[in-house]
Order: sequence, then structure tokens, then C-alpha cells
Amino acid sequence: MNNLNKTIFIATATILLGGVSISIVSANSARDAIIEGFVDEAGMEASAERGKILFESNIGDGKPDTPSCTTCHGATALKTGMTRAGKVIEPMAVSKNPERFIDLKKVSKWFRRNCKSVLGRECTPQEKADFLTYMKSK
Amino acid sequence: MTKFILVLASSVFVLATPIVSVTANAESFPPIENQTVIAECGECHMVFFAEMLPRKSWLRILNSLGNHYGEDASIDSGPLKEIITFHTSRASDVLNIRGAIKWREGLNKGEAPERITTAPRFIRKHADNDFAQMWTKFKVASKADCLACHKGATRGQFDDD
Ligand code: HEC
Ligand code: HEC
Ligand code: HEC
Repeated sequence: MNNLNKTIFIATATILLGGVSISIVSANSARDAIIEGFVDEAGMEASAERGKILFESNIGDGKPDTPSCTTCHGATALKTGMTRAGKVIEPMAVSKNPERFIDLKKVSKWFRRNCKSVLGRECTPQEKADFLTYMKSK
Repeated sequence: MTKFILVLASSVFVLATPIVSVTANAESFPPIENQTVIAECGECHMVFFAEMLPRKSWLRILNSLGNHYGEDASIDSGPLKEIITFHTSRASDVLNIRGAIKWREGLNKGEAPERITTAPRFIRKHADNDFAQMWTKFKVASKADCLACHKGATRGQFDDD
């Protein structure tokens, strides 16, 4: 690498890394605001432990093909999942996928759909807060 | 930032994608550009081509998204309207392009298959051993996972095997 190339390389790497850390910081605050919103609505502290149980339990009160969140999302929060039509779903754990749970519209849409599919009803604000708190801790 | 990664990723993608030759005889489908359709219908599977089913099928499918093949795929009424218009105006019995014409062949008048994978052209094209072998070899989870066997499926190309 000659000097000019080196400079360009370092400059590019700096911009890249700088951009990544800024976007992670703003993703984190967007996610925290969403979680806080559900905690406020629930009127009680969230529990990662309860969130884990919701995610991993075989509930089966909704549609027969989807008894559990893990039917599609993979066996654990860290694993890649798959839709019934074969499309890959990236892991839910925030450590694996920093872009998780940063858009309230997206989060609300999927809670509505997936809770109906698995529980046969909408999730409560408390369940939502628990679930997101668990995924944030993983 | 995201834009930069996107540009980077798509240039890698273009480089890595093999060039698929399209024979004069095969149908191909214009790529889907409607952003609402891409956002709402591409989350759980590839965005299917409207040209593969007749108008009546799409009306049934899109008016019962609350129970979509055993799943809740419901969407807001605003985007839903746009998605219905998109699909019905490109349906196999409406649009006169090669792909649509091929997919209307073999349909009785008023017949409305529930799925692409139960439409006459799908059944005819996937009846032989090649399909069965690929199914086993690639461990395909669903017939609707076109991409498992057709690498060019999202670009509307199905003659690449
Ligand atoms: C039928 C398959 C399926 C089941 C069952 C399922 N999900 Fe999902 N879920 C998806 C898909 C597909 C997405 C969107 C793709 C993505 O975000 O990677 C998604 C996304 C989500 C999101 C939004 C993620 C984000 O980044 O904003 C949440 C929240 C969610 N699911 C919660 C749940 C919960 C809670 C359960 C169990 C009660 C559950 N899901 C069960 C398929 C499923
Ligand atoms: C929440 C997930 C989800 C969303 C969103 C979704 N689908 Fe589906 N779709 C499915 C599942 C699951 C199947 C059944 C796959 C199977 O049986 O293997 C399916 C199957 C289909 C099929 C039949 C495929 C076949 O077997 O021939 C069509 C057509 C279809 N979807 C169209 C749409 C359209 C149009 C939209 C947008 C309005 C849409 N889907 C949005 C989950 C979804
Ligand atoms: C398990 C593998 C597999 C899956 C899944 C699959 N196909 Fe195919 N498909 C094949 C094979 C094999 C052929 C025959 C190839 C040939 O004749 O050259 C074929 C042929 C076709 C053809 C005819 C192409 C031509 O030029 O004659 C079309 C169109 C097609 N498939 C569409 C689809 C669509 C749409 C889906 C998803 C809804 C799908 N396929 C899913 C394996 C598959």
C-alpha cells in the first residue's frame, strides 16, 4: 500500500467505525424508549425471566401451526430462525442483531400478528416489556 | 451509513450473482417495484408474482389475511388497498404479458386456485423427478420456497436449473 492509499484506507475505516458506533448508540436509545413505553403502560417493572418463559414456552392457544415463538424464531434467542415458507429470520437477541426493536411501528405490528398466532390474543403491555427486556439482555 | 453498506452489499451481490441465460421460450416476470408490496408481502416469503394467479384468487387471499395459510398476516387498510389494486391489475387473467398468459393456461373459467403451488402451471412444471430430487437434496421446507430451487426467482427467472 502506498501512502496515499494508506491514508484513504484509514480515513474510510474511521468513517465506517465512527458511523457504526453512532448508529448503535441511537439504536439503543430508540429501543430503550420503546421498552419504557410498554413498562409505563404496564405500570410495573419488566422481568427478563418472564420474557424468557414467554419466548420459549409451548403455549399453543393460537393457530395450530404456531404453538410457540420459537416455532419461527429458532430454539433460543441467539439462534437464527425460519418462517414456515422457508425464509431466514435473523436472531432476536440484541447482541446478535443490534437492529432489533428500534422501530415502534414494526415492533407493534409483529407483536399483534405473532401474539395472535401463538397465544390467540394480543400480548399485554407487560408481556411486551418482559419480552423486549429479555431480548435486550441476551 | 446504512446507504454505504447497502451500496457495498449490492455491488458484492451483483458481482457474485451468476448470469442466468433466459431462453426465448421461458416466461420471465418484470421485477416488482411497488414498495408497499415489497414491504408487506416480502417479510415471510419472497414477494410472489401477481401474474401467477387470477384476479379472483388474489381477492380471496388479500381479503382474508387475518388467517393467511394458518398465520396472521393482517395489514392496515391503507396499504391493503394499494396491494389489492397492484395484484388484481397484474393478475394472470388480466395482464397480457407472456408470464401471465402462461399462468392462465389450463384454468377453467371462474376457477380460483388457493395457492400458486396448486395452480395448473405449477403442478405441470413440478411433476417430474427433477423436482422430487431437488426437494430432497436441498431439504426444502415448503413448495412455496421458490428461492430454494430457483436462484433467480426474485428477479422473475425460473428456467435456471
Ligand atoms: C409464524 C412465525 C412467527 C412466530 C410464531 C413468531 N414470530 Fe415474531 N416475527 C416473525 C417474522 C417473520 C418477523 C419479521 C422478520 C424479522 O424481524 O426478522 C417477526 C418479528 C418479530 C418482532 C419484531 C422484531 C423487530 O426487530 O422489531 C417481534 C417483537 C416478534 N416477532 C415477537 C414475537 C413473539 C413475542 C412471538 C411469540 C408470542 C413471536 N414473535 C412468534 C415470525 C414469527
Ligand atoms: C406473517 C407472515 C406472512 C406475510 C406478512 C405474508 N405471508 Fe403469504 N404466506 C405465509 C405463509 C406462512 C404461507 C404458507 C407457506 C406454506 O404453506 O408453505 C404463505 C403463502 C402465501 C401464498 C401461497 C403460496 C403457495 O403455496 O403457492 C401466497 C400467494 C401468498 N402467501 C401471498 C402473500 C401476499 C400477497 C402477502 C402480502 C399481502 C403475503 N403473502 C404476506 C406468510 C405470510
Ligand atoms: C424443490 C425445488 C423447487 C421448488 C421449491 C420450486 N421449483 Fe419451480 N421448478 C423446479 C424444477 C426442477 C423445474 C423444472 C426445471 C426445468 O424444466 O428446466 C421447475 C420449473 C419451474 C418453472 C418452469 C420454468 C420453465 O422455463 O419451464 C416455473 C415457472 C417454476 N418452476 C416456478 C416456481 C415457483 C413460482 C415456485 C415457488 C412458488 C417454484 N417453482 C418452486 C424446482 C422447484
